[in-house]
Amino acid sequence: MLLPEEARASYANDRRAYLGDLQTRSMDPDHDVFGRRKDGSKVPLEIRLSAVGTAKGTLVLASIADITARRRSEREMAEQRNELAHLSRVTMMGELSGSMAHELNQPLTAILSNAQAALRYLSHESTDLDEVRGILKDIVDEDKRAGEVIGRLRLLFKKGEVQFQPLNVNEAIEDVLKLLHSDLVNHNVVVDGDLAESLPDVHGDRVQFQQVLINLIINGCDAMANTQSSKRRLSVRTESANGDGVRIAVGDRGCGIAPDRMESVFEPFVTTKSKGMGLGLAVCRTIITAHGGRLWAENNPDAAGACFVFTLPTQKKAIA
Amino acid sequence: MTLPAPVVFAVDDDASVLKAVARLLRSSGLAVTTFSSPREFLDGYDRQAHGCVILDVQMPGLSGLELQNALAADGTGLPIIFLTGKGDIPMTAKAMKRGAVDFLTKPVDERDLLEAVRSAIAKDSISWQARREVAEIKSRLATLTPRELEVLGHVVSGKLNKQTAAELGTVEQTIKVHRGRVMEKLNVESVAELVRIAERGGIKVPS
Repeated sequence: MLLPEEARASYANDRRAYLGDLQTRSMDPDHDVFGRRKDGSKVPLEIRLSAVGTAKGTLVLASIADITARRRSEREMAEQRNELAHLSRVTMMGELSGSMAHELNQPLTAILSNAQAALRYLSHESTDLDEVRGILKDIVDEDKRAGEVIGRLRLLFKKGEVQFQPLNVNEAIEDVLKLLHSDLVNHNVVVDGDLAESLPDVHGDRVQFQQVLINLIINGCDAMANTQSSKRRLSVRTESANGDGVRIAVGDRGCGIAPDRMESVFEPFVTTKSKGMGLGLAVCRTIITAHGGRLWAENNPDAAGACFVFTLPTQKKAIA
Repeated sequence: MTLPAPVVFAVDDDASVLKAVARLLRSSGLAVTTFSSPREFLDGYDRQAHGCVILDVQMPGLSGLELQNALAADGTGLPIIFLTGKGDIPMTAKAMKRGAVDFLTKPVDERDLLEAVRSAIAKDSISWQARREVAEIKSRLATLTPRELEVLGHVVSGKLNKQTAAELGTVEQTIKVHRGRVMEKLNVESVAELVRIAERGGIKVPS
């Protein structure tokens, strides 16, 4: 028997179902079918069934291919893609290290001053215990805040398996904005968030999603370096893209992109920055494509500046 | 004028840090007023207060350094202590040059903060008096009519009544009356005093 034992029953069902509805169709790519080698090991198969009408009735032409090699190269490509994404992410985080340190420094400052204030209150003759209690509660909160910052950072630095799972886009965006808060302040950039309520979850990897977002936000800030500082506004918008999952747009108020460069900005090693390799957007596009979404650039219709838009599917459509 | 009790104005957009720093100052017996943005501070602080300002350098909207400029333009001259997450040297130098009394790095130890605040307040005790005098002079100058201001300008630049009258197209007697009114309003007895006060009040001498 060519089939692994545990799958025999379900494959028989599949066959019966097909015979009940004779149509030529290709296999659902997410449906893994395995055969069995002589030594008992499993082999991934691709099966195509074609209904052929003949004088003797409908016949079914079945082609079965061993796709071990294809699967391996797909896996290798995914690994390389993730390796590159991680590398690019770590580089990006390195550039942000100053702001990240600041985000940690704030709760540390609050904790130190709170603790020293509490010690002073305790040494007063009549200690206001309510005040001290309030202080201790704040210290606990600030400690948690620092912990959250570290948690977010650790996640982004980690080189883990890419995990495709239901992802709340708005939450992930708010996390990123918190992380980038001081970098935005440093750039004098105000963020206009316009996050649609009750968005469906998308299917994606949280870390890679945030990586793309951070990249687009940093690019947006850089693009506004020559914009008058009171006009440096970055819009971050989410909306449901009918039938296309969720659409996320990051728009700046810089000088926009020349029409003939709309596509080339995504090519690797194309950059307008004095430092940087020009890999950011190329990697972003790779990530989004691997998620089954699209990433493109456009100029804002209403005012100056460029807008980077990407979509992410709500259903499993990823190729990873 | 007697020196009022000092007030520390703390400005930081991070609510937790602001609260903690204010607590620390209060726990050591200082009066503190907090503001969550430079704009809020500029709109709401008591311009006659004696004390100092603690400013976070990194804030959205007006930066700490810009606020320093706005305060200077305000003429209050409250000493400023800067708090910063990452004090780079050019930024520190710029702030100090414009009269910041201290530049402290977060997280700030109570010893450093309280010492900075005390010395800022001590410094302000001296300048507060001068500031009040200028403010007083300015408020008195504000009671002068445009014509009186004109006459004052001429007196200050050392012109005789006769010259002034000629230049302003009137008679000497009228100028004398204006001049008397000016001295009365500014509460001075001599021309020397008048000149001193006009100068402190920022009256420009016509050339």
